[in-house]
This record gives sequence, structure tokens and C-alpha cells, in this order.
Amino acid sequence: MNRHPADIVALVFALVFLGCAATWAGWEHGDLDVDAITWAIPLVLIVSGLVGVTMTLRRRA
Amino acid sequence: MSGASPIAFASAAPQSCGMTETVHEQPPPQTGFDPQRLRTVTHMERSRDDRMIAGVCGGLARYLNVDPVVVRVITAALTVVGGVGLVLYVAAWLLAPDQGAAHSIVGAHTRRADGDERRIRTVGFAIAGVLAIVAVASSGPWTGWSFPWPLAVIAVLLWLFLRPRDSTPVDTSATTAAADTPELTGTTETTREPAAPRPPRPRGDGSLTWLTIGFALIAAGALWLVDRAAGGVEWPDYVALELAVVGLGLLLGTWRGAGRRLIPIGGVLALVLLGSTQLPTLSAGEVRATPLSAADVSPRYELGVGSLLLDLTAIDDLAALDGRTISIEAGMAEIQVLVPDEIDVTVDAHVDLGDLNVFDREVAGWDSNLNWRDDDTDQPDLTLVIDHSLGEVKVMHP
Repeated sequence: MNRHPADIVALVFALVFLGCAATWAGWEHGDLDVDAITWAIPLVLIVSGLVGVTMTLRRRA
Repeated sequence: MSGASPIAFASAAPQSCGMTETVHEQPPPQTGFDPQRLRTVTHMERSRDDRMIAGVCGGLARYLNVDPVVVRVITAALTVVGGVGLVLYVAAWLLAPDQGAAHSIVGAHTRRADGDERRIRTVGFAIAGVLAIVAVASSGPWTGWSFPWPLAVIAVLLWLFLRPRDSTPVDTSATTAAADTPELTGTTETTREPAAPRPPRPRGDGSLTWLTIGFALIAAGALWLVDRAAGGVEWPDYVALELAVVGLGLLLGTWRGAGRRLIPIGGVLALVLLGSTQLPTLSAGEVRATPLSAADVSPRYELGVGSLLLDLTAIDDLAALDGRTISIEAGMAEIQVLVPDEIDVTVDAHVDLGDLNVFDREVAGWDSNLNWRDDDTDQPDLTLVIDHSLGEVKVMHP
């Protein structure tokens, strides 16, 4: 699989989109309430951002 | 056929390039009629020196040889009519080149030879024209308006098709950013490689995009079958599923490369999914409910986009409505409820953005609430719960 260096941009957007879809599914079909959503969305953003930052820094190291 | 006109176009371009100083330059006198110099709207350029936004109106005025104010007024007027002006403006912005420039935004994006770009412009203006006609045909204050989804899908597919197939190293932002940094050959070990010239990442290879679109189509079809068999699938489910497929495609593209063009697709899907939380249903149009008896009254009325009229004045057994609750939920719509004088109503209305008018008491703006309670008399009691995203709510006596 590792024929190319990891494309961090693609990874970050992949995480954001999957996070959005999962959050929406949890809200519409699961038992996430508004309170949980307001936790879930920032968490998705923070995790995606952290992954991007970590991978960028590791690549530079 | 298309080989002849680009030559005329290419030879005309440097001429107009030199005219940028004067605003109202007369075209050079033409001697006789030369079919190769026949100008169509695809020859229009965006004005550099006479622009409010992107020089479209200025450029069109020069092309038509009329005052730019006329074009601006007409464009503004057309924008009110179902957004036609906006559609055409954006189309011209994307398709007409900047004054003196060889390529339009779309042309630079697709990076093709001039002849092909002319064809792209022709096709693009044709699509814009169709969109404009659709917009006019379906215009009106919210009523019956619906987004032309099939056309949007076609536009996205065209955009993907018209992308360059050969991967010439133009993606400088990505290649230069990674050029001076050593690479990772594994995800865990940091094995440094000598500074050998790296082969360009094959971003132009669209196989991952098509793989993902293929899986997205399969997933949509499968969900459709699930809906047929078991039911209960709503339209945002499709959007969420496709968003997940695009996300997985991007995840694959992280290591396989060539996945970035999925990002705008995912972005659009995510926005649509967000929008779906505002529209209770995808239904659009006009809903008129005039129940004749209390049994006909539905506990819930919903509408995505359009206008909704609930007329309760024709009910003959009002006493049977006592204690009942009617909930009305709409996205972008105009809601009207006609309540007979012979019942006591409690209204609990909310709108994200718009205007609430309950028996001539009025609240407008963002996130507005209005509660109304009739004096409790012997008359039957009815509760109306109205939850609206965008638009006007009116509750009134006949």
C-alpha cells in the first residue's frame, strides 16, 4: 500500500467526512442528543486536526 | 470546424491586450464580412478596468457595445427572478477569460489546448443557459422551487471528465512543499532516503475517483433496495452514506495517492447533510390542507420547501379537536394556519430565521419564539406547535 508518502490532506478530510457521517448517523438513528452532538463535532475536528499536525511534524522530523 | 475559429481568437487576443488603458475603446474598423471573425458570446472577456466584482458586466457591456450600467441593472433584475442573473454571472466568471488572458478559470483548470477550451466554453455557456431556463421556469417566491439536482450531478461529472488526464507536474503546492523533506517509506519507521528526485505523485490518475464513484453508486443502489424491502430510508441517509463512501475513498487515497479530487465532492455532501437537518423533508411545492372533520386532521404536517396552508375553519365537529396537538414542521416555506373563532388555541411557534405572526402579534428575526394562549373558556382547546427553519409563519382567524 505504501507506494506513496501519505497524503495528509486527504487523510484529514477523510477523517472529517467520516466523522460528519458518523455523527449524523448517531444523531438521526442512534441515541446521541443535542448535548452529545455539541461534544462530538468539536472532537471530530480536534482529532482530525491533531492527526494532521502529528503526521506533518513526524514527516519533518 | 472548431480548428478555424481558435486561430482567429488567438490572433485577436494580443490586440485587445494592448487596449487595457482606455475604457471605451472602439473596435478597429472592419472591412467586409469575414466568417472567421464572427464573434459569439464565447469571445467575451471579463473587463479588467471596469469591474465591480469580476468584470463580467463590464466585459459584456464592451462585447455588446452598450453602457455597463445597463448590463448591471439587467443582471440585478435577473438575479431577483429565480437567481438567473446569479447563475449567468457565475457562469461568465468561470468561462470568460480575463481581459487579455488566454484562458478562462475553467480553461486554466482543465489546461487544454485553445480549441478544446473554446468547446468547453460553448458547452459551459449552454449548461448555464439550461440552468437559467430551469431557474426561470421554476421561479417564484419559494413556491415550487427545488434545486435542479440532476443538472448538478451532470455538472459534477463534467467537471471530473474535463480534468486533465496527463499528470504534468503543475501541482506545485504539493510537490514543492514535500520536495525538501525526506520521505517516509513506512508509516512507523523513519527510513531516510537520499535526496533522489522523486517521481511525481500521480494525482492526475483518476482511477481512485472513479472507484469511489462506482462504490458510491453501488451503495446508493443497495440502500434503495433496502428501502424497497424494509422501508424507513430517508433522503439524508443517502447523503450520509455517500459521504461515508467518499471518506473511505479519501482514506484509501491517503496512501494510494490521487484522492484529493474527492475532497470537493465530500465537502458538498457534508454541506447537504448539514442542510438536511434544516429541511424536515425533501418535499417541495404547495401543501393545502382543509380537513372537514376532526378525524381528518393530521397530528403532523411537514414540508421541505414551498408554502403550507392549514385551514381548520371547515371542520364541522370542532368539539372533537379538544385536547389535541397539531405539529407543523417546515424548512423554507410560508406557513399559514387558519383557526376558527370557536376554539381556544395555544400556539408555540419557533423560527430560525423569519417572521412569526400569531393573531397579529408579530416577532421577526433570528431564532424567534412566539407563544400565544387564548383565554380559557368553555370552547375546545387546541395546541399548535410550529417549528420552522426559514420563512414566514402566520396564524390567524378567518
